[in-house]
Parts: sequence; structure tokens; C-alpha cells
Amino acid sequence: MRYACVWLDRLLTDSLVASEPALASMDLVAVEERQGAMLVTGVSAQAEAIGLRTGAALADARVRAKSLVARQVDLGQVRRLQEAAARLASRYGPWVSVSCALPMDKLVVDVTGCGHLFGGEEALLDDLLRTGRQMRLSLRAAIADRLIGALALAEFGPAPRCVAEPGETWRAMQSLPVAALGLDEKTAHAFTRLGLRRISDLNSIPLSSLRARFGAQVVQALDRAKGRLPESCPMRPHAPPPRLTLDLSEPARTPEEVRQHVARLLSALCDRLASQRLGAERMQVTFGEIRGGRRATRRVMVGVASPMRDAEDWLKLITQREAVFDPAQGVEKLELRALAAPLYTKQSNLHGKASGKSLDALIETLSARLGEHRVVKFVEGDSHLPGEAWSRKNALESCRFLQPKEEGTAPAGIRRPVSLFAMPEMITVKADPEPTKMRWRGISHRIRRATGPERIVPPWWQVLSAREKAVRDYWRVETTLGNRFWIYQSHASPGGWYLQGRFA
Amino acid sequence: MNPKQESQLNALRERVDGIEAQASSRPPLSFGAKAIDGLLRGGLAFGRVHAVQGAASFGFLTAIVARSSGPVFWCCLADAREQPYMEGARQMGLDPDRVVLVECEDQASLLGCVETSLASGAAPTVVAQLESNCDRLAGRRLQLAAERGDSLGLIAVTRRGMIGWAETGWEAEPLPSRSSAPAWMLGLMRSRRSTTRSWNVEWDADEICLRLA
Repeated sequence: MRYACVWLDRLLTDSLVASEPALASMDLVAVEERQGAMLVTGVSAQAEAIGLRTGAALADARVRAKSLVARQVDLGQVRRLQEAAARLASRYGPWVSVSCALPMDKLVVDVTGCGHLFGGEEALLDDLLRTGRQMRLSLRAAIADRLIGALALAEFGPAPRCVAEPGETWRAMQSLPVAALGLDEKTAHAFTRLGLRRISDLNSIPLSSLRARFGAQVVQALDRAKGRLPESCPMRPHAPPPRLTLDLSEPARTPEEVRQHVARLLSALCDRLASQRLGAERMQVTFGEIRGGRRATRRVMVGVASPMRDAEDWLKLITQREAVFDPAQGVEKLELRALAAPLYTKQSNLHGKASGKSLDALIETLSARLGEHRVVKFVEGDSHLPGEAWSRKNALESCRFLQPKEEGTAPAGIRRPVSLFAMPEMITVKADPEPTKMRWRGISHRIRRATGPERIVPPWWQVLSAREKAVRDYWRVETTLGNRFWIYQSHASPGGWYLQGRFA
Repeated sequence: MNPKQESQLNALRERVDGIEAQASSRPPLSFGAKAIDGLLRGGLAFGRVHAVQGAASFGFLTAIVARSSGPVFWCCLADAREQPYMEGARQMGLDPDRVVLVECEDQASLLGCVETSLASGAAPTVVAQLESNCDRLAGRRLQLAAERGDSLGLIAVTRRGMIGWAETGWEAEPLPSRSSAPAWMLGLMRSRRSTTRSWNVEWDADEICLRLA
């Protein structure tokens, strides 16, 4: 896959210029009122040149530059600009990310196989940037194999464009700051405090200690960048999403009240979808609420396996999320966005209900409750590595694209274990050269039968750490008690024996 | 529609419901070994939960699931130390395409998801890979959910504990194998409708059934 990420790096000030062209030549900053103070949320290129930065208080910024012009942002105008950018992006690839999937100022286009139409991927990006300039949009863009790579390179890579050649994403990301992994602010800050500034600094740290110290988030981001975890971003042929907003003059203060408002909005939106013969695949609810004395927004997104427009069913799915209608200190604003898709009529049974839906419904319920990446089906990959031979795919999507199965691929080849350990466990083994004794979790096992070695060599074309690059010799051993283990000897330095899985 | 047609249609609905209700009570899931099936009057009963423990429980669960049909929901913790591996499962005769893996954050959410899956009846077989024991109340809830959905619940418990809530309780320990087929010592430790016993068995991956060793 080739993804192009477009970063609208001056979205806020560009939106001000779009509504008031005279501002283009001024030292313009976008401001927002927060806790009674005016904060700078966006700066134009000229304002940045004289040393103004986002996050500063407007009063401080004024001291720095007398010529400064400040304006408050009109969100409607920002959205129109986003739409325009998405329209622009859809010229370069068939699929454009849906607007609620990414931060407001970023969008992704699938440009797989589109580069040559423009004379190469660099030329594609040049054309995009040129058209952007004509639209008075400041853009930065990058193309990479991985979604996370494209997003990182667009924002942190060389300006204004950057192309990571196929297979080079991970290498191209090495020199970027750690924040490019898309971590939350706290984690990124913790890394800086430890002196780990660049992504390359993380290479020397074992993944297990990263996981222990910073949680799964970092390891997952690294795996995504290296191409070991599947990643997905909802993408559609570009079409503006149906959207409804509700401003409450009197904030809703009880969960029941919030629920009723959401229900009313849902049924209005579903009516609108019905008039266009559409259903929704995803629904995003944005709660504008007061939390701890401050205005905050909270987003909840749920998806379904096949498009639907039954307001009651959508409400049920949204209710699956824990404390979703908790109003904090009051909900002032509600917004509903749907990702629309054509809805085909289903054959109904005698009771007037669509049949064959319960499996979809169960997958939808669990996906809404746990998150879509937690409910998965297995897809056979083409890797010979035990950890990667089967990749995971969101069950929600795989039942959307259910395909007739090929008949009978016979279970052939070398025996494989029925379970794998998430982290191979270190064991001590006595071998000459066949393993004869092993010690695992403090218990000694005498080995009755050993089959092997089977040598597994990791793919040399991937960028791997020295440990992962090492050749492994796998043995299938059976202990005198009947335990059947899958163990391997790693030829890294220092080498060692590990227990990877268990046979039936 | 006039009232007469309405009442005719309602009568028709009732008749179809009656037929469907009969069809939905599934026959028990047999093991393929006569001695075991005979003792259990056919095999593992649907609409019930069954507990499995022991060092070979992964293989035994895969074997039972391979004998069942329809989609399988395999629920485990997201950070479970041991996870099912489809290459090995396929070699035992389980079609990986039938499996939906559900990963939960903690035991409470895991039990909730198992309950939802059992009660929906969409998947005839639901496997729960628990990291610690489930208490009587949780077990009873799972049992009620299985009854509602007429589905088969297979609950793997790692540590030994009370399994009074289960219809049957199994212990599977590995045995030294005579050939390449997996061999287990299978203990029926608890059964609501039969006596308890144990067998030495082997798994036949070609015929997808258990054989007494």
C-alpha cells in the first residue's frame, strides 16, 4: 500500500484568510478563548517568521510583535476548508480518509499505483502542493508504505514534501522525533525527559522494557511502523458525511436527558439517510460538555458490519460504551456524523425482521464494546515466521467483505503448535546436540523425544534488531510426562533457548 | 389486510415458531469415541457450560471445537500469555475461518463478553480462556446465558477451583504419545448426569475424532 498524508499545517490561519483575503499580507494569528484568556492556536507563516508560536497567550504575543493581527476562528469556515482539501486530495487517489478518523488538520489518500499517472510520486506531491498554493492552502505532504509513517513524515519529515520509497518507511522514520509515533502528550514528554529524542534512540531498548515502562501503546506504534501490525483507517470515495448538530440552550445534566437528545438526533439523521436511500457504517457522536469547569469535547465512534439506518439499533450500539451518556457537569452541544453507505433492502422473515443478522449483530455489539481491533478473524499470511503466518483482521470488516471460501486446503507440512506464547519464555536446555533436558518455570523435564532442528531464518529484507535478525533452530520435544513443547535456540549473541509454544 | 387474513397469518407464524423451536434444540456434541459418548448420553450438551482445566486443555478445547460446526467465538484476555495458533489448530482439523477471536481487557469484561456471546446464540460454540477461576455467581450467569442462546460454553480455567456451576468438568493432561497423534489423559471430574471416569485418548486429525488409546 502507498499512503499519501496531507498535513494542513496552517489550517486555522488559512481559514481566516479565506474569509478575509486582506489578512493574507499581515502577521496573522488565530486565537481562541480558554479559561478567560486568549490563546494563540495558529500562526501564519509571516507571524512565525517574527517569532510567534502557538500555545502562547495573546497578550505575550502582542508584546513581541505590535503589527500582529488576531482573529477568532469560525469553525464552519475551517470545515469548509477541510472539505476543499479532501476534494483536492481525491484527485490523486480513489480513497480519501473520512474526516472523523484523523486529527482535524490531517487527511490521508490511498495513492497505491497512482504515482505514475503524475510522473512519479514526487511529481504527484509537487502537483498537490502547487494546487494547494493556488487555493491558498499551506500544505505539507508525505508518501509512505505505512499509515503511521505517512502521518509522521508529513508532520515531522523534511518540508514541504517527503517520499519514503517502498520498504523504506521504517528507515525514513529513524531520524524523526519520538512524538512522530503519535503518542499521547504524557508519554512523549516522558521520553524527552529520559533523553530519548529520536525514534532511532528506541532501537537499543528491548521491546519488553518499553512495554513495561510505557505500556502497549509504544510497542504497537513501533510494530505498525515496521509493518508487523495491520493498520487501517476508514477510507471512502470522497463524499461529504451527513451531519447534524444540536445546540442546547439549557445544558443536559442527567444521563437520561442526554440519551433522549441523542435518540432524537439519531432518528432525525436516520430519516435524512432514508430519504437518500443510504445507511450508515459508522456513527460518531461528539459531546460538547463542561468537565471540571472547562469546555471539553468527547467523541464516541461505533461501527457496524453492514450499513443500517435503524435509529433504535444505533442507540443500542452506542449505549454499549461504558458511561457514554454521563453528562459530567452538563452537555451543551451534540454532533452526529454518519459515514454513509448504500443500503440494500434485506429479505425479511415472517415476523418482518431481517434474517441472518444475529452473527453480524453479535460482532457489532462486541466491537462497539471493546473496540474494533479487539474482535478479529484470522487471515493466512504469506510469511513463514510463526508469529506472522496468520495476521488478524477486524471481524467487522471481514464480515463486510465475506468471500466464498476455497475448498479443502489440506493440513500439510511440518507440525505446528496449537498455542503460542505471546512472549517466548526463556528456558535452560542441556543439548548434545539434541536437547535432552530442559528447565522451565523452575521445573526440570527430561526429554523423551526431540524432532528437529528446523531452521527458521527471518526475512533479510526487513529492518530488524540484532536479536530479531538471528537465525533460530526450532525443535519439537516431548518430555517423559508427555508435555509437547516447541522450543528454539536463538543464534543471537548472547544466544539462548526459548519456549515458543505448546503442541496438542 | 383484513382481520381474517391477519388471524390466518398469526396462526401460520405460531406453527412456524413451533417447528423452529423443535429444530433449535441441538443434539449433543459427540466426541466420536463410543465409550465417552455413551457415558454422557451422546456427548456435551448444548445450552450448558462445561469447564476444562489441565496442562493439555488448549489441545482438548481445539479438538472439541474442531468437532463442532458453525462460527466459534474464542474469548481471551488481550494480554493472555498463551494464545491460540491457527496453523496448529488447522492441523488438528479446525477451520481457522470459523474462529472469531475476542480480546478483553480484564476478567470482568471477559465474563461479560462470554455471556453476551452465549446468550445471542449466533455462535453455537463459545470458548472462554479465563486466567483465574470464576466464582459460583459468574458461573451461574454463564449457565443461564448458555440456556438462553442454546449454545455450548467451554470455559477453560487455569487454576484448580470449584466448578460446581458447570454441567461437566474435564481435566486434560498430556500423555506420552505412541505415534504422531496427540495423546491425553482425559478425566471427567464432574458430571451432573453421569458418573465420573477417566480415559486415555488419542486425537485422530484425519477423522476429526477422539479414539481410546
